[in-house]
Amino acid sequence: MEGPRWLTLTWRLPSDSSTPRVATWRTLRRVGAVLLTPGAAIVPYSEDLLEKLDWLAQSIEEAGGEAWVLPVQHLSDREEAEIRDRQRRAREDEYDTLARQARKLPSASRAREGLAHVRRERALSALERGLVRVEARDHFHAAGKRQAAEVIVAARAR
Amino acid sequence: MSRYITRERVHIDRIATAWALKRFVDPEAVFAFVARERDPHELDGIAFDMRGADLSHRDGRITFEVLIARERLAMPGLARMAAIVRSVDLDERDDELPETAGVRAIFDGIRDALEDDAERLRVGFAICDALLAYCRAG
Repeated sequence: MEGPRWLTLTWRLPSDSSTPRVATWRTLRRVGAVLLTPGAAIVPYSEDLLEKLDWLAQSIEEAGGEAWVLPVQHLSDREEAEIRDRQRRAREDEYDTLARQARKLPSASRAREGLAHVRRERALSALERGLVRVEARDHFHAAGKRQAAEVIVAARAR
Repeated sequence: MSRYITRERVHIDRIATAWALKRFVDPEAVFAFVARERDPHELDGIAFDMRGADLSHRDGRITFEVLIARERLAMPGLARMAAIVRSVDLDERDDELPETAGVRAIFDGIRDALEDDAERLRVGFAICDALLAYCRAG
């Protein structure tokens, strides 16, 4: 039998629980999940994502909610195309944002010393870490990755 | 001799937890691996790092940290090692340590190169020994 190709998380949290709600959203965002409906999200199947969703489900249950992690074998072509498309667009936006922020950084000569220098270095490191994070959740090879990487490298060299 | 059971396809948290069990808690420990769907309460052995097991992720702590706290393990370097294991396992990347990316690469490599869980433990234990030695020295 073919293994699962997708994982869905369905969950419900008590309505008064804003902290677990935010934590759940942040985790789903971090793993690059696509929201299907309020309380249902989907990611491509991997060992790693299965484990992450399992722990997320447990933390939802610890917060008094309910959660199911369900492996899915097949989606219709149309559903699959839409999920891939939404995932890609979300990552494209993130790559664009990184590139835009990198373009705005002052050059090394304009931020040579003191606070300006420290700020520039911090911003560059944040952009580099941000790129690694977005790449890690870019499950379907969104456009804009190479451009973002090049702009960040250029910003460092400038 | 105790039999410890966890989900198949182990990664850093389960490898480190098994390692600490074997090195510091129960030298006779043997390990078995089951599908994630299994109910930890129906297994013949002590389940860990499974949803619903006593020894598992709890209140934001990973299983390795839960074991260290429960057994009051205080070997030199262990707390620092736990911080590294945590940052690899949770993958939050907001407060990464200098070691995180490298240690993650090694454990991802163990996962990708080795299908067999016993083999993953064998290799992973050697890495954990090395990581503790590094943390103790630093």
